[in-house]
Amino acid sequence: MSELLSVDGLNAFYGDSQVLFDVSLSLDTNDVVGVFGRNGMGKTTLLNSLVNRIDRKTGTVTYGDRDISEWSTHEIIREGIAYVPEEREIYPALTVRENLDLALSSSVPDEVREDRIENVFGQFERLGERHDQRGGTLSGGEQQMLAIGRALVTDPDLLLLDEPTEGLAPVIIDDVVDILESLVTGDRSVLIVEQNIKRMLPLIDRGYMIQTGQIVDEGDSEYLAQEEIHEKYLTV
Amino acid sequence: MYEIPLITADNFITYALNGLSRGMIIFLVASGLSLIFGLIGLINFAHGSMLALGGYGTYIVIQATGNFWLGLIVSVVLVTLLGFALERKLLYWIYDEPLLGFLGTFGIGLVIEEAIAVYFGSRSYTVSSPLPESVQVLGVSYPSYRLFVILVGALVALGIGALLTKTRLGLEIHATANRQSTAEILGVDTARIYTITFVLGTGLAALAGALTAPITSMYPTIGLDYITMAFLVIIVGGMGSFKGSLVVSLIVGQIIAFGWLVLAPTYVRILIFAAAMVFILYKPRGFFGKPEVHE
Repeated sequence: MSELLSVDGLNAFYGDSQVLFDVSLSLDTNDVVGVFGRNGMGKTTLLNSLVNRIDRKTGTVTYGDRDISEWSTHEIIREGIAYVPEEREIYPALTVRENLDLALSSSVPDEVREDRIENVFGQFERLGERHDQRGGTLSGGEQQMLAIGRALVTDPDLLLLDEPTEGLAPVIIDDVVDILESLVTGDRSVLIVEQNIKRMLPLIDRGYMIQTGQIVDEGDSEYLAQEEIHEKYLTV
Repeated sequence: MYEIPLITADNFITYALNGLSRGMIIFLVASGLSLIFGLIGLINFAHGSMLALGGYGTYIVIQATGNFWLGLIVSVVLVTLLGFALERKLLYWIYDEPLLGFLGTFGIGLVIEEAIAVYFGSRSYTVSSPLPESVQVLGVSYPSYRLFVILVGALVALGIGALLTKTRLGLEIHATANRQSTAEILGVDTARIYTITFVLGTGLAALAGALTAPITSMYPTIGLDYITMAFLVIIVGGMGSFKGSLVVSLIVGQIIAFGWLVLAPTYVRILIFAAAMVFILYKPRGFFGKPEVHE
């Protein structure tokens, strides 16, 4: 496996406040990697920094063989990275189909565009049934499916998932985890940030622990499954 | 007491058509202003000066060539290019600073207005109608050029409506206007969308200026007169609502046309602004303003 994403010495800031401190991590092709930590530790900021959705950052982010540290967000996305934000951020006034269509570049030919959208509907039948329904009328679980579908419709090489189970009812979490299981076995790399380490461990190859903006531990899923690791880094 | 003049059916049709043509000019100005505000959040005080440049540009080309249509095309193209340069080189960098945006566009508007006053003086200029003949409309003889203005306004309304609701660009404009950072993570080049929208809005102001030149006289502060009315239209219509701009522009056009029957123009303007203020007290978001969306 070759290295797909490399983050080196990343520091991130919101205004004058520094949120990430010298973060380094890497992810190989077809790798599924988790970053775990309590609320407010910098998980979302880490993903936002990777796609330059932040006030200011220093350090280097390399994707493939290109330094994307200074690229604008849309340029990074067009390079083959898809981002599912924590709050889903679907457009409530647009239909399910329009939300999906928006994620596809205008350069994608119409027939390919239609195939991609139909593939998502094949994967998420509930979205297919509600293709003409406005995004704002979907349930929380359906909105999460739409957010994931909107990322998948671009057929990305790297998928960034920000707390995919956050705020969902337990029964819906089961559905979302099932969807994630089908994603991680595919031919793509995935970087997941989550608090819910127990639900994510079966999905990941390895992971990092983040605390107050710093990577403080890392290991494979077996290592991260230890209860003392959870108590040390995740228990409030 | 004022005596309300009795009007004949023929006069009624003439006034209604006058109101429609005036309303379409106001709509062209207001829709551009509304697009820019709705997407970028920029209160563009230079918008009126773009209308003035469109009108004076048309006048200059007519003086040189005698051809109104050439003047219209050249002035709209040149003012649109000026809008492009302003957006790229200046305004783009201050979008995150609303106060700077306000002061910047106000300053640009003042400079353009003063430049026009220095070059042309304060006297007004008139342009001959390129379509001097009249045609019969509902049994009334009516100037062809004013019908042409109504037609252009209607085509622009249909065109922009289709652009916003039926095209990929419209989808990207909607996404950028509603949540720019989300549009970015979906691969939308929002800086490009900002530029296109600003340039489109500027072009509409220039078109309004060029079209109005044969109807009203041109004077350096003409842009100010139109932009105050356009601001009223977008507030009453609902901030950022294209449909609201169209409906309220047409209503205002009719009030002006029929109001002049009984009141001096200044009093008609005062009446319109007073009515708008009362309306906003009862419906602060305007006719088509949407409540805040909590995603």
